[in-house]
Amino acid sequence: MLYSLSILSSALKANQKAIDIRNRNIANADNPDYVKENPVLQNIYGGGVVVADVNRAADNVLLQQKNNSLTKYKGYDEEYSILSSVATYFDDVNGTGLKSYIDNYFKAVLDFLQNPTLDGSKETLLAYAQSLIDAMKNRYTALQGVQNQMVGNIEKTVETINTLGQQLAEVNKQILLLANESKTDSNDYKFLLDKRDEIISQLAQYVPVEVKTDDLGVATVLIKNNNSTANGYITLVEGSNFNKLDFDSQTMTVSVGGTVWESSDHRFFESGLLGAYFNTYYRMEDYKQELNNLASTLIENSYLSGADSGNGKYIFAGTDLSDISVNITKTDLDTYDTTQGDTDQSYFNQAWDTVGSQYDTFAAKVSNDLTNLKVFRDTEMNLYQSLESKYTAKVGVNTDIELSELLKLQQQYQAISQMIGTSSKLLDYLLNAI
Amino acid sequence: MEKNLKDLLEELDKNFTSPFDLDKFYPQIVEVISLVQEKENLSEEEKILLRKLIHKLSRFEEVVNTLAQSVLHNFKFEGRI
Repeated sequence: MLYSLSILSSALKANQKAIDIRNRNIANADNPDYVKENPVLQNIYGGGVVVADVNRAADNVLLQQKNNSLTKYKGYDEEYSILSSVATYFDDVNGTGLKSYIDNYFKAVLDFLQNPTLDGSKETLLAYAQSLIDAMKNRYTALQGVQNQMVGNIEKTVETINTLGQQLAEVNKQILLLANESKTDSNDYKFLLDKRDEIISQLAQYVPVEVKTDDLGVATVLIKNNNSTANGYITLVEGSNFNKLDFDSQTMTVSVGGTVWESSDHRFFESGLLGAYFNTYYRMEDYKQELNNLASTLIENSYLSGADSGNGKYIFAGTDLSDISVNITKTDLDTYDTTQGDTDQSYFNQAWDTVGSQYDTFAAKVSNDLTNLKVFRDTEMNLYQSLESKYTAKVGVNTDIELSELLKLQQQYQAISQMIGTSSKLLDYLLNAI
Repeated sequence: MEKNLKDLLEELDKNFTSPFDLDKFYPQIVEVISLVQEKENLSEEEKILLRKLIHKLSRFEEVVNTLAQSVLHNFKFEGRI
Protein backbone atom coordinates (compact mmCIF):
# COMPACT_ATOMS: atom_id res chain seq x y z
CA MET A 1 0.00 0.00 0.00
CA LEU A 2 2.81 2.41 0.95
CA TYR A 3 4.58 1.43 -2.26
CA SER A 4 1.57 2.30 -4.40
CA LEU A 5 1.22 5.60 -2.56
CA SER A 6 4.85 6.41 -3.40
CA ILE A 7 4.24 5.66 -7.10
CA LEU A 8 1.14 7.88 -7.08
CA SER A 9 3.03 10.63 -5.32
CA SER A 10 5.83 10.60 -7.94
CA ALA A 11 3.18 10.70 -10.69
CA LEU A 12 1.50 13.67 -9.01
CA LYS A 13 4.83 15.48 -8.68
CA ALA A 14 5.75 14.79 -12.35
CA ASN A 15 2.28 15.88 -13.44
CA GLN A 16 2.53 19.11 -11.48
CA LYS A 17 5.93 19.79 -13.07
CA ALA A 18 4.48 19.18 -16.56
CA ILE A 19 1.57 21.55 -15.78
CA ASP A 20 4.10 24.20 -14.67
CA ILE A 21 5.98 23.87 -17.96
CA ARG A 22 2.78 24.18 -20.03
CA ASN A 23 1.72 27.18 -17.94
CA ARG A 24 5.09 28.77 -18.55
CA ASN A 25 4.67 28.25 -22.31
CA ILE A 26 1.26 29.95 -22.23
CA ALA A 27 2.53 32.81 -20.07
CA ASN A 28 5.32 33.45 -22.61
CA ALA A 29 3.19 33.07 -25.74
CA ASP A 30 3.85 36.71 -26.68
CA ASN A 31 7.52 36.72 -25.74
CA PRO A 32 9.54 36.67 -29.01
CA ASP A 33 12.68 35.43 -27.24
CA TYR A 34 10.96 32.49 -25.58
CA VAL A 35 11.48 28.99 -26.99
CA LYS A 36 8.60 26.57 -26.26
CA GLU A 37 9.30 23.54 -24.06
CA ASN A 38 7.81 20.07 -23.98
CA PRO A 39 7.97 17.95 -20.82
CA VAL A 40 9.19 14.41 -21.45
CA LEU A 41 7.56 12.05 -18.89
CA GLN A 42 9.31 8.75 -18.27
CA ASN A 43 8.64 5.63 -16.17
CA ILE A 44 11.32 4.97 -13.64
CA TYR A 45 12.74 1.61 -12.74
CA GLY A 46 10.90 0.20 -9.75
CA GLY A 47 7.72 2.16 -10.43
CA GLY A 48 6.74 5.81 -10.67
CA VAL A 49 6.98 8.64 -13.19
CA VAL A 50 9.36 11.59 -13.51
CA VAL A 51 9.85 14.49 -15.88
CA ALA A 52 13.00 13.03 -17.45
CA ASP A 53 13.74 15.99 -19.64
CA VAL A 54 12.37 19.29 -20.82
CA ASN A 55 12.60 19.29 -24.56
CA ARG A 56 13.43 22.81 -25.78
CA ALA A 57 12.24 23.28 -29.35
CA ALA A 58 15.32 25.26 -30.39
CA ASP A 59 16.71 25.42 -33.93
CA ASN A 60 20.24 26.72 -33.68
CA VAL A 61 20.96 26.77 -37.42
CA LEU A 62 17.87 28.86 -38.16
CA LEU A 63 18.63 31.06 -35.16
CA GLN A 64 22.18 31.66 -36.44
CA GLN A 65 20.84 32.59 -39.89
CA LYS A 66 18.25 34.87 -38.31
CA ASN A 67 20.94 36.59 -36.27
CA ASN A 68 23.24 36.95 -39.31
CA SER A 69 20.41 38.58 -41.19
CA LEU A 70 19.58 40.82 -38.22
CA THR A 71 23.22 42.03 -38.14
CA LYS A 72 23.14 42.94 -41.82
CA TYR A 73 19.66 44.46 -41.69
CA LYS A 74 20.41 46.67 -38.69
CA GLY A 75 23.71 47.82 -40.23
CA TYR A 76 22.28 48.64 -43.66
CA ASP A 77 19.20 50.27 -42.14
CA GLU A 78 21.28 52.57 -39.95
CA GLU A 79 23.73 53.42 -42.73
CA TYR A 80 20.86 54.10 -45.10
CA SER A 81 19.08 56.30 -42.61
CA ILE A 82 22.22 58.40 -41.89
CA LEU A 83 23.17 58.66 -45.57
CA SER A 84 19.61 59.69 -46.49
CA SER A 85 20.03 62.85 -44.46
CA VAL A 86 23.58 63.48 -45.73
CA ALA A 87 22.47 62.99 -49.34
CA THR A 88 20.14 66.01 -49.09
CA TYR A 89 23.26 68.23 -49.12
CA PHE A 90 24.01 66.94 -52.62
CA ASP A 91 20.48 66.44 -53.93
CA ASP A 92 20.21 68.66 -56.99
CA VAL A 93 16.90 67.21 -58.14
CA ASN A 94 15.24 68.87 -55.15
CA GLY A 95 17.52 71.90 -55.35
CA THR A 96 19.43 71.31 -52.11
CA GLY A 97 22.72 70.34 -53.74
CA LEU A 98 25.73 72.43 -54.77
CA LYS A 99 24.84 72.49 -58.45
CA SER A 100 22.83 75.72 -58.25
CA TYR A 101 25.68 77.47 -56.36
CA ILE A 102 28.21 76.36 -58.99
CA ASP A 103 25.93 77.38 -61.86
CA ASN A 104 25.12 80.76 -60.30
CA TYR A 105 28.81 81.51 -59.80
CA PHE A 106 29.82 80.63 -63.36
CA LYS A 107 26.80 82.46 -64.80
CA ALA A 108 27.83 85.52 -62.78
CA VAL A 109 31.40 85.32 -64.14
CA LEU A 110 30.13 85.08 -67.74
CA ASP A 111 27.61 87.91 -67.14
CA PHE A 112 30.43 90.08 -65.84
CA LEU A 113 32.57 89.26 -68.88
CA GLN A 114 29.72 90.37 -71.13
CA ASN A 115 29.09 93.54 -69.10
CA PRO A 116 32.44 94.33 -67.40
CA THR A 117 31.56 97.94 -66.76
CA LEU A 118 28.32 97.30 -64.86
CA ASP A 119 28.71 97.61 -61.11
CA GLY A 120 25.82 95.19 -60.55
CA SER A 121 27.55 92.37 -62.44
CA LYS A 122 30.72 92.86 -60.37
CA GLU A 123 28.82 92.79 -57.07
CA THR A 124 26.87 89.70 -58.21
CA LEU A 125 30.09 87.88 -59.17
CA LEU A 126 31.71 88.60 -55.79
CA ALA A 127 28.53 87.61 -53.92
CA TYR A 128 28.06 84.31 -55.80
CA ALA A 129 31.76 83.43 -55.46
CA GLN A 130 31.47 83.88 -51.70
CA SER A 131 28.18 82.00 -51.45
CA LEU A 132 29.69 79.03 -53.35
CA ILE A 133 32.56 78.87 -50.85
CA ASP A 134 30.11 79.16 -47.94
CA ALA A 135 27.89 76.38 -49.32
CA MET A 136 30.86 74.07 -49.78
CA LYS A 137 32.19 74.85 -46.32
CA ASN A 138 28.75 74.32 -44.76
CA ARG A 139 28.57 70.89 -46.31
CA TYR A 140 32.10 70.07 -45.19
CA THR A 141 31.18 71.11 -41.63
CA ALA A 142 28.02 68.99 -41.79
CA LEU A 143 30.05 65.94 -42.89
CA GLN A 144 32.50 66.61 -40.06
CA GLY A 145 29.52 66.79 -37.67
CA VAL A 146 28.29 63.39 -38.85
CA GLN A 147 31.78 61.99 -38.29
CA ASN A 148 31.85 63.34 -34.73
CA GLN A 149 28.43 61.82 -34.14
CA MET A 150 29.75 58.47 -35.40
CA VAL A 151 32.66 58.57 -32.95
CA GLY A 152 30.14 59.06 -30.12
CA ASN A 153 27.97 56.23 -31.46
CA ILE A 154 30.97 53.88 -31.72
CA GLU A 155 31.92 54.68 -28.12
CA LYS A 156 28.39 53.89 -26.88
CA THR A 157 28.09 50.77 -29.04
CA VAL A 158 31.39 49.31 -27.82
CA GLU A 159 30.21 49.98 -24.27
CA THR A 160 26.91 48.16 -24.96
CA ILE A 161 28.72 45.19 -26.55
CA ASN A 162 30.95 44.94 -23.47
CA THR A 163 27.92 45.03 -21.14
CA LEU A 164 26.15 42.31 -23.14
CA GLY A 165 29.35 40.22 -23.26
CA GLN A 166 29.66 40.45 -19.47
CA GLN A 167 26.00 39.49 -19.02
CA LEU A 168 26.44 36.49 -21.29
CA ALA A 169 29.53 35.30 -19.41
CA GLU A 170 27.47 35.54 -16.20
CA VAL A 171 24.59 33.55 -17.78
CA ASN A 172 27.11 30.90 -18.89
CA LYS A 173 28.34 30.68 -15.31
CA GLN A 174 24.77 30.24 -14.00
CA ILE A 175 24.06 27.57 -16.66
CA LEU A 176 27.05 25.57 -15.44
CA LEU A 177 25.94 25.90 -11.82
CA LEU A 178 22.26 25.09 -12.43
CA ALA A 179 23.04 22.26 -14.85
CA ASN A 180 24.82 20.47 -12.01
CA GLU A 181 22.03 21.22 -9.51
CA SER A 182 19.35 20.12 -12.01
CA LYS A 183 20.80 16.64 -12.10
CA THR A 184 20.08 16.24 -8.41
CA ASP A 185 16.78 18.03 -7.76
CA SER A 186 15.16 17.83 -11.22
CA ASN A 187 14.92 21.64 -11.55
CA ASP A 188 15.40 22.86 -15.07
CA TYR A 189 17.45 25.82 -16.26
CA LYS A 190 15.89 26.31 -19.67
CA PHE A 191 14.99 29.92 -18.82
CA LEU A 192 18.72 30.62 -18.80
CA LEU A 193 18.99 29.32 -22.36
CA ASP A 194 16.27 31.77 -23.42
CA LYS A 195 18.15 34.53 -21.62
CA ARG A 196 21.35 33.41 -23.41
CA ASP A 197 19.63 33.55 -26.83
CA GLU A 198 18.08 36.92 -26.03
CA ILE A 199 21.50 38.42 -25.20
CA ILE A 200 23.02 36.89 -28.33
CA SER A 201 20.24 38.36 -30.50
CA GLN A 202 20.86 41.76 -28.92
CA LEU A 203 24.59 41.40 -29.64
CA ALA A 204 23.79 40.44 -33.24
CA GLN A 205 22.30 43.89 -33.79
CA TYR A 206 25.71 45.43 -33.19
CA VAL A 207 28.25 42.93 -34.56
CA PRO A 208 28.23 39.72 -36.61
CA VAL A 209 28.38 36.88 -34.10
CA GLU A 210 28.93 33.19 -34.49
CA VAL A 211 27.76 31.04 -31.61
CA LYS A 212 28.89 27.59 -30.55
CA THR A 213 27.15 25.85 -27.68
CA ASP A 214 28.24 22.81 -25.71
CA ASP A 215 25.94 19.99 -24.49
CA LEU A 216 24.86 21.98 -21.44
CA GLY A 217 24.13 25.10 -23.46
CA VAL A 218 27.17 27.18 -22.46
CA ALA A 219 27.82 29.56 -25.36
CA THR A 220 31.07 30.63 -26.96
CA VAL A 221 30.53 33.84 -28.91
CA LEU A 222 32.89 34.86 -31.69
CA ILE A 223 32.78 38.18 -33.52
CA LYS A 224 33.57 37.74 -37.20
CA ASN A 225 34.04 39.93 -40.20
CA ASN A 226 31.10 38.98 -42.42
CA ASN A 227 32.94 39.88 -45.60
CA SER A 228 36.16 38.01 -45.02
CA THR A 229 36.91 35.00 -42.85
CA ALA A 230 40.60 35.56 -43.55
CA ASN A 231 40.56 38.30 -40.92
CA GLY A 232 40.06 35.79 -38.11
CA TYR A 233 37.69 36.31 -35.24
CA ILE A 234 37.47 37.87 -31.80
CA THR A 235 36.48 35.55 -28.97
CA LEU A 236 34.10 37.79 -27.04
CA VAL A 237 32.80 35.20 -24.57
CA GLU A 238 34.05 31.73 -23.81
CA GLY A 239 32.39 30.06 -20.83
CA SER A 240 32.50 32.51 -17.96
CA ASN A 241 35.41 34.42 -19.57
CA PHE A 242 34.74 37.69 -21.34
CA ASN A 243 37.19 39.69 -23.47
CA LYS A 244 36.60 43.44 -23.38
CA LEU A 245 36.66 45.58 -26.53
CA ASP A 246 38.62 48.85 -26.23
CA PHE A 247 37.91 51.80 -28.51
CA ASP A 248 40.40 54.63 -28.98
CA SER A 249 38.64 57.62 -30.54
CA GLN A 250 41.93 59.36 -31.35
CA THR A 251 43.24 56.57 -33.56
CA MET A 252 39.79 55.13 -34.43
CA THR A 253 41.01 51.68 -33.44
CA VAL A 254 39.32 48.82 -31.59
CA SER A 255 41.55 46.41 -29.75
CA VAL A 256 41.13 43.39 -27.52
CA GLY A 257 43.82 42.67 -24.95
CA GLY A 258 46.26 44.95 -26.76
CA THR A 259 45.68 43.41 -30.22
CA VAL A 260 44.30 45.91 -32.72
CA TRP A 261 41.40 44.46 -34.74
CA GLU A 262 39.93 47.56 -36.35
CA SER A 263 41.91 50.43 -37.86
CA SER A 264 41.65 52.65 -40.94
CA ASP A 265 43.98 50.40 -42.97
CA HIS A 266 42.62 47.14 -41.59
CA ARG A 267 38.83 47.18 -41.43
CA PHE A 268 37.18 44.51 -39.30
CA PHE A 269 33.75 45.81 -38.24
CA GLU A 270 31.89 46.19 -41.51
CA SER A 271 28.36 45.07 -40.66
CA GLY A 272 25.87 45.49 -37.83
CA LEU A 273 25.36 48.82 -36.08
CA LEU A 274 29.04 49.07 -35.13
CA GLY A 275 29.99 48.41 -38.76
CA ALA A 276 27.46 51.02 -39.91
CA TYR A 277 29.06 53.68 -37.70
CA PHE A 278 32.59 52.86 -38.85
CA ASN A 279 31.50 52.64 -42.52
CA THR A 280 29.72 56.01 -42.23
CA TYR A 281 32.76 57.58 -40.56
CA TYR A 282 35.01 56.53 -43.47
CA ARG A 283 32.36 57.38 -46.06
CA MET A 284 32.20 60.94 -44.66
CA GLU A 285 36.00 61.10 -44.78
CA ASP A 286 35.81 60.14 -48.45
CA TYR A 287 33.10 62.75 -49.17
CA LYS A 288 35.13 65.42 -47.38
CA GLN A 289 38.07 64.55 -49.59
CA GLU A 290 35.83 64.85 -52.67
CA LEU A 291 34.74 68.32 -51.52
CA ASN A 292 38.38 69.30 -51.00
CA ASN A 293 39.25 68.08 -54.46
CA LEU A 294 36.32 70.06 -55.87
CA ALA A 295 37.56 73.19 -54.07
CA SER A 296 41.06 72.67 -55.49
CA THR A 297 39.66 72.29 -59.02
CA LEU A 298 37.57 75.41 -58.51
CA ILE A 299 40.62 77.42 -57.40
CA GLU A 300 42.78 76.13 -60.27
CA ASN A 301 40.05 77.00 -62.78
CA SER A 302 39.43 80.57 -61.63
CA TYR A 303 42.11 82.57 -63.42
CA LEU A 304 40.70 85.82 -64.78
CA SER A 305 43.41 87.07 -67.13
CA GLY A 306 41.89 90.52 -67.69
CA ALA A 307 41.61 91.35 -63.98
CA ASP A 308 43.78 93.97 -62.33
CA SER A 309 44.44 95.95 -65.55
CA GLY A 310 45.30 92.80 -67.48
CA ASN A 311 47.86 91.50 -64.97
CA GLY A 312 45.52 88.58 -64.32
CA LYS A 313 44.31 87.23 -60.99
CA TYR A 314 42.68 84.08 -59.60
CA ILE A 315 39.13 84.64 -58.39
CA PHE A 316 39.81 82.20 -55.52
CA ALA A 317 42.93 81.79 -53.40
CA GLY A 318 44.06 78.81 -51.35
CA THR A 319 44.75 75.13 -51.91
CA ASP A 320 41.53 73.41 -50.80
CA LEU A 321 38.46 73.99 -48.58
CA SER A 322 40.57 74.59 -45.48
CA ASP A 323 41.94 77.90 -46.80
CA ILE A 324 39.83 78.84 -49.83
CA SER A 325 38.82 82.50 -50.02
CA VAL A 326 37.65 85.03 -52.57
CA ASN A 327 40.88 86.51 -53.87
CA ILE A 328 39.59 89.04 -56.34
CA THR A 329 38.40 92.50 -55.29
CA LYS A 330 35.98 95.01 -56.69
CA THR A 331 39.00 97.16 -57.74
CA ASP A 332 40.47 94.22 -59.71
CA LEU A 333 37.14 94.03 -61.57
CA ASP A 334 36.89 97.83 -61.98
CA THR A 335 40.22 97.78 -63.80
CA TYR A 336 39.34 94.78 -65.95
CA ASP A 337 41.13 94.76 -69.30
CA THR A 338 38.29 94.20 -71.80
CA THR A 339 40.69 92.99 -74.50
CA GLN A 340 40.90 89.74 -72.54
CA GLY A 341 37.12 89.29 -72.65
CA ASP A 342 36.96 86.58 -75.35
CA THR A 343 39.86 84.59 -73.89
CA ASP A 344 38.30 84.68 -70.43
CA GLN A 345 34.85 83.72 -71.72
CA SER A 346 36.20 80.65 -73.45
CA TYR A 347 38.32 79.78 -70.39
CA PHE A 348 35.39 80.07 -67.96
CA ASN A 349 33.02 78.09 -70.20
CA GLN A 350 35.61 75.30 -70.09
CA ALA A 351 36.07 75.79 -66.32
CA TRP A 352 32.30 75.50 -65.80
CA ASP A 353 32.36 72.14 -67.61
CA THR A 354 35.33 70.90 -65.60
CA VAL A 355 34.02 71.92 -62.16
CA GLY A 356 30.42 70.98 -63.04
CA SER A 357 31.27 67.51 -64.25
CA GLN A 358 33.55 66.84 -61.26
CA TYR A 359 30.68 67.80 -58.96
CA ASP A 360 28.18 65.72 -61.00
CA THR A 361 30.40 62.65 -60.63
CA PHE A 362 30.58 63.19 -56.89
CA ALA A 363 26.80 63.79 -56.54
CA ALA A 364 26.14 60.64 -58.61
CA LYS A 365 28.44 58.70 -56.28
CA VAL A 366 26.43 59.85 -53.24
CA SER A 367 23.18 58.95 -54.96
CA ASN A 368 24.57 55.57 -56.05
CA ASP A 369 25.78 54.82 -52.50
CA LEU A 370 22.28 55.60 -51.23
CA THR A 371 20.60 53.40 -53.86
CA ASN A 372 22.95 50.50 -53.08
CA LEU A 373 22.22 50.78 -49.37
CA LYS A 374 18.49 50.82 -50.08
CA VAL A 375 18.80 47.67 -52.22
CA PHE A 376 20.77 45.90 -49.48
CA ARG A 377 18.53 47.20 -46.69
CA ASP A 378 15.24 46.21 -48.40
CA THR A 379 16.50 42.71 -49.24
CA GLU A 380 17.83 42.12 -45.77
CA MET A 381 14.64 43.46 -44.17
CA ASN A 382 12.57 40.98 -46.20
CA LEU A 383 14.97 38.16 -45.43
CA TYR A 384 15.08 38.92 -41.71
CA GLN A 385 11.28 39.12 -41.45
CA SER A 386 10.87 35.83 -43.29
CA LEU A 387 13.52 34.06 -41.15
CA GLU A 388 11.98 35.50 -38.00
CA SER A 389 8.49 34.25 -38.86
CA LYS A 390 9.91 30.83 -39.81
CA TYR A 391 11.78 30.70 -36.51
CA THR A 392 8.78 31.84 -34.46
CA ALA A 393 6.57 29.23 -36.15
CA LYS A 394 9.10 26.58 -35.21
CA VAL A 395 9.99 27.53 -31.67
CA GLY A 396 7.16 29.86 -30.61
CA VAL A 397 4.16 28.88 -28.50
CA ASN A 398 0.88 27.80 -30.08
CA THR A 399 -1.65 28.61 -27.34
CA ASP A 400 -4.34 26.25 -28.72
CA ILE A 401 -2.03 23.24 -28.51
CA GLU A 402 -0.71 24.32 -25.11
CA LEU A 403 -4.23 24.74 -23.67
CA SER A 404 -5.32 21.33 -24.89
CA GLU A 405 -2.17 19.72 -23.40
CA LEU A 406 -2.77 21.62 -20.17
CA LEU A 407 -6.38 20.37 -19.99
CA LYS A 408 -5.20 16.77 -20.39
CA LEU A 409 -2.60 17.21 -17.67
CA GLN A 410 -5.12 18.78 -15.29
CA GLN A 411 -7.53 15.88 -15.80
CA GLN A 412 -4.70 13.45 -15.12
CA TYR A 413 -3.73 15.45 -12.05
CA GLN A 414 -7.27 15.29 -10.65
CA ALA A 415 -7.43 11.55 -11.33
CA ILE A 416 -4.12 10.94 -9.54
CA SER A 417 -5.22 13.15 -6.61
CA GLN A 418 -8.45 11.16 -6.24
CA MET A 419 -6.50 7.91 -6.34
CA ILE A 420 -4.16 9.20 -3.64
CA GLY A 421 -7.18 10.24 -1.56
CA THR A 422 -8.75 6.81 -1.92
CA SER A 423 -5.48 4.98 -1.16
CA SER A 424 -4.96 7.18 1.87
CA LYS A 425 -8.49 6.40 3.18
CA LEU A 426 -7.85 2.72 2.55
CA LEU A 427 -4.60 2.93 4.48
CA ASP A 428 -6.35 4.71 7.40
CA TYR A 429 -9.05 2.02 7.39
CA LEU A 430 -6.45 -0.75 7.47
CA LEU A 431 -4.47 0.94 10.23
CA ASN A 432 -7.63 1.40 12.32
CA ALA A 433 -8.62 -2.21 11.70
CA ILE A 434 -5.35 -3.57 13.08
CA MET B 1 -2.35 39.95 -71.23
CA GLU B 2 1.43 39.72 -71.27
CA LYS B 3 3.12 41.72 -68.57
CA ASN B 4 5.98 44.06 -69.30
CA LEU B 5 9.39 43.92 -67.64
CA LYS B 6 8.81 46.81 -65.26
CA ASP B 7 5.51 45.36 -63.99
CA LEU B 8 7.12 41.98 -63.42
CA LEU B 9 10.10 43.50 -61.63
CA GLU B 10 7.80 45.61 -59.44
CA GLU B 11 5.69 42.59 -58.61
CA LEU B 12 8.77 40.58 -57.63
CA ASP B 13 10.13 43.50 -55.63
CA LYS B 14 6.89 43.74 -53.67
CA ASN B 15 5.95 40.08 -53.24
CA PHE B 16 9.10 37.97 -53.52
CA THR B 17 10.26 38.62 -49.98
CA SER B 18 11.25 35.23 -48.65
CA PRO B 19 13.79 32.58 -49.73
CA PHE B 20 11.09 30.01 -48.93
CA ASP B 21 8.90 31.42 -51.74
CA LEU B 22 11.40 30.77 -54.50
CA ASP B 23 9.27 27.97 -56.02
CA LYS B 24 6.26 30.24 -56.16
CA PHE B 25 8.05 33.05 -58.01
CA TYR B 26 10.36 30.93 -60.14
CA PRO B 27 8.27 31.32 -63.36
CA GLN B 28 8.25 35.13 -63.03
CA ILE B 29 12.02 35.18 -62.41
CA VAL B 30 12.62 33.10 -65.54
CA GLU B 31 10.35 35.43 -67.50
CA VAL B 32 12.26 38.49 -66.23
CA ILE B 33 15.57 36.95 -67.32
CA SER B 34 14.25 36.23 -70.79
CA LEU B 35 12.76 39.74 -71.13
CA VAL B 36 16.02 41.37 -69.99
CA GLN B 37 17.95 39.36 -72.58
CA GLU B 38 15.58 40.50 -75.31
CA LYS B 39 15.63 44.16 -74.32
CA GLU B 40 18.42 46.41 -75.58
CA ASN B 41 18.10 49.26 -73.12
CA LEU B 42 16.79 49.28 -69.57
CA SER B 43 15.33 52.36 -67.91
CA GLU B 44 16.95 53.64 -64.68
CA GLU B 45 14.01 52.32 -62.68
CA GLU B 46 14.27 48.90 -64.32
CA LYS B 47 18.01 48.82 -63.68
CA ILE B 48 17.49 49.49 -59.95
CA LEU B 49 14.72 46.89 -59.68
CA LEU B 50 16.85 44.36 -61.54
CA ARG B 51 19.79 45.12 -59.27
CA LYS B 52 17.49 44.52 -56.29
CA LEU B 53 16.30 41.21 -57.72
CA ILE B 54 19.82 39.96 -58.44
CA HIS B 55 21.01 40.91 -54.97
CA LYS B 56 17.93 39.31 -53.46
CA LEU B 57 18.48 36.05 -55.35
CA SER B 58 22.13 35.91 -54.39
CA ARG B 59 21.45 36.61 -50.69
CA PHE B 60 18.49 34.21 -50.52
CA GLU B 61 20.58 31.50 -52.19
CA GLU B 62 23.27 32.00 -49.55
CA VAL B 63 20.73 31.45 -46.74
CA VAL B 64 18.99 28.49 -48.39
CA ASN B 65 22.37 26.83 -49.04
CA THR B 66 23.40 27.19 -45.41
CA LEU B 67 20.09 25.78 -44.17
CA ALA B 68 20.27 22.93 -46.71
CA GLN B 69 23.84 22.11 -45.62
CA SER B 70 22.68 21.84 -42.02
CA VAL B 71 19.86 19.45 -43.01
CA LEU B 72 22.22 17.30 -45.10
CA HIS B 73 24.69 17.27 -42.23
CA ASN B 74 22.09 15.44 -40.13
CA PHE B 75 21.75 12.58 -42.64
CA LYS B 76 24.12 9.68 -42.57
CA PHE B 77 24.86 7.96 -45.83
CA GLU B 78 26.43 4.79 -44.55
CA GLY B 79 28.68 2.92 -46.93
CA ARG B 80 28.80 5.80 -49.37
CA ILE B 81 31.30 8.52 -50.01
